[in-house]
Order: sequence, then C-alpha cells, then structure tokens
Amino acid sequence: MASIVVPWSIAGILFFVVIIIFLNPEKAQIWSAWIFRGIASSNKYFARRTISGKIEGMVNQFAKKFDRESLGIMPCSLKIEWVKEIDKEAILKEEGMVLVKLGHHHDDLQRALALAMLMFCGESLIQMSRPYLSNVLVRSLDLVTTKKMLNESKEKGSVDYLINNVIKPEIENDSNLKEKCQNMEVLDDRGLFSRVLLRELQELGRELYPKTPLGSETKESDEFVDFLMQIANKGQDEDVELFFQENWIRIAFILVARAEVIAERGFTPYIDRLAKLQKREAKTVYIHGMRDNINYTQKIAELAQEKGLGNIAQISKFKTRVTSGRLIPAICITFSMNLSESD
Amino acid sequence: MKVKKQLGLKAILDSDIEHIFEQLGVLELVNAGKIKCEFCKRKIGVENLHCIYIESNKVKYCCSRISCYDKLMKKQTGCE
Repeated sequence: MASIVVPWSIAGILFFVVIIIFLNPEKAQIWSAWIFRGIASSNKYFARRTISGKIEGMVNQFAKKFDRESLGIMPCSLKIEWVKEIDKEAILKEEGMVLVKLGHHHDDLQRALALAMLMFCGESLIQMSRPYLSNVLVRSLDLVTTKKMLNESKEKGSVDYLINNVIKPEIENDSNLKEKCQNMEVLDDRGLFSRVLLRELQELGRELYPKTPLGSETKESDEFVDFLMQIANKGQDEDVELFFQENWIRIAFILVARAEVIAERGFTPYIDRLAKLQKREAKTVYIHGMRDNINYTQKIAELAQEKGLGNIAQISKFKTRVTSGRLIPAICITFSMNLSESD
Repeated sequence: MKVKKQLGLKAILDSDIEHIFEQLGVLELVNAGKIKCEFCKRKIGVENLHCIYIESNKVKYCCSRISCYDKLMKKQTGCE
C-alpha cells in the first residue's frame, strides 16, 4: 500500500510545483535564484542564473502587478541577455548598445537590482506619454515607482542604495524634484498614483503620440498633479474641485463619503451627478469610497452602468492612508463615460 | 491575450570583465590606467567599471559612480 501512496504523493507535489511555476513564473525565477546562490561563487553558469533569476523575477513580478492596477502603464517585461564573447568589429556597428557589468555578491546584486529597476522604469513606464511631460515630472515618476518596486520586493539593501545614491543627491540639488517626489508619495498613499495619475498620463500619451510636443500638454499634466494633490490633502468636510476639465484630460471624482445622503435619498444624487458629468463630457469618472461605503460605491457604479451612462473599466480595492496616517480599506472604480449618448 | 514588450538588458558577468577587455584589445591600457570614464574622467579598472557602451562607432566606458551612469541614461533616452 505504501509503495503506491509514496509515488502518488511525489507526483502530487510535483504537479503542484509545476502549477505554481506555470501560474507564477516570476516567483519561480526568484526561487531559482535562491537555490543557485550557494553555488554561484564557483560556477559562472550558476552566477548568471542567480543574477538573472533575482533581477528578472523581481522586476517582472512588480511590472505584472503594477500593470494590473491600471492597464497599460507598464506593459513590458525584462530579459537579461548575457554577453560572454565580444566581436569588436561587430559591436561597433551597434550604436547605442550598453553592456552592464553585473555581479552575484550581495552588495553587487542589491546595487544592480536598484539600477536595473530604475532603467526598466525609464524605458517602460507610460512610454508614449514621456515626450509630453516635464522632465521633473518624469523623473519623479521614475524615482517613486522604482522605490515602490524595490520596497514591495522587500529588498531593503536596494531601497537604501536608491535613496542614498540616487534620490538624495538628486533632490538635494533640485527643490522642484523634491516637491514632486513628495507629491507622488502622497498620491501613492491615497491610492491615486497608479490608478488615476499614471492611467490618465498614459491616456494622454495615447491621444497625443506621435504629435510634436507643444508645451501646453506639459502645463496641463503639471496642473493635473496639483488637482489630484488637492483631493489627496482634502479634509473630511472640506469641499474641493472634483472635475478636471482641460484639453486632453477631462476626468472627475465622485466621492461616496456621506452615508446620510444615501440614507435619505438613495443613489439618485450620485447618478444625477454622473449624468451631469456625461453632459459636460467627462471622459472618465473615478468613483471612490472607503470603509462602510465600499459596497454602496460598487452599487452606484453598477446602477450607472445599467442606466447606460458608461462602463466599469476597472474595480480596485486597496488600503489607503488617511491624513491621520491610518490605513483603511477603500475602493476606486474607474468608470468610462459613454459620451456618444450625451447631448 | 495581451502581448508584453520585452526589454533586453545586455549584461557581462563581473568575472568575465578581464576577458571582455582582452577581446576589445584594451586590457593593457586598462592595467596602465589609460582608459577613462567618459563622464568623470576617472581611471577605469575591472572593479569600478559599470558599463561599456557604443557611441559614434567607438567603445566608451562608464564608471560605477551613479552620477556618471545617470548621465549615460539621460543621454540614451534623450533627456539631457
């Protein structure tokens, strides 16, 4: 009996491992890096596998997760191509080619991971939109996203390297960049960074690319950051502008915050507001709710969709940091307005 | 299914660097301290090399100072 049970249990475990690898190739890469690390010092093949596994695994795992928060903001994956031999005559024809030295020792790897992530962000994050944004905004997006990537990967050494060797020296010389980085972090804490800011900047690039940058779109995107900052810093009973209506970016927020409104008048005020926003040609409305209002928020979006006002493009449930510093559950529904139905 | 664009990062293992310098015909120059970082003009050695790149049909070198690598990245992406 035991001779039957053992092979089946081994087969079961193997099957389970294969399924995990199939569903999470990035995680499998990170695990393989751990396995190969012990023998990397004595063998170049394993040294390369350790480095590739760790860097590709971490970068691709984050990129996949981040791209899911707002479809298309980071639509790339990273592949390390090892160069073992060089033909000098041949590489001279490869204008712009960069060959980076990578090592498998702990400090080398931490540094390489930070720089690879920064390079990856620079080449993959909202790629089409970059020509239309200010250099300061682009740099702050790259720095904050890279730090977020490394922090979520729990790579403290790489985070420290990035902060001490890249972020600190840059912001010490540029107060504008410092302010922008701080703003991006506030937006990230409130759940508005990837779900709203990056999504809208991505849309801006999709509309404009490959037109010649005029400068007005740079101004518009900077003003959009200021608009989002007002919402992010809003006090509980404070009223702020919730509709950003410019040439390219035309979005609004509906904050489902007052349970007494729903208790007295149901969902009608929210649906009416969505109908008004449709007439004013808001392209996207972000319906946002927290704690006890999460279910109401979802119902409002579903009702608006049933009424033909638009479509639910994305539902994100996450934890947001409120001004007191506490993390609380929240929802942000990206609602694409049906503008062909409006007047 | 959405197709993801794959970005390639060309890399050299640190223990292959001497061999690569040899193939580029610059190992003696490196040992003599005659190869310099394109940005800070510091001497390039096996330890402090960060990357090799091609510009205007020439092989150029960048040291491990982050400010130098950053200048190279900005050059590459046209954000100087």
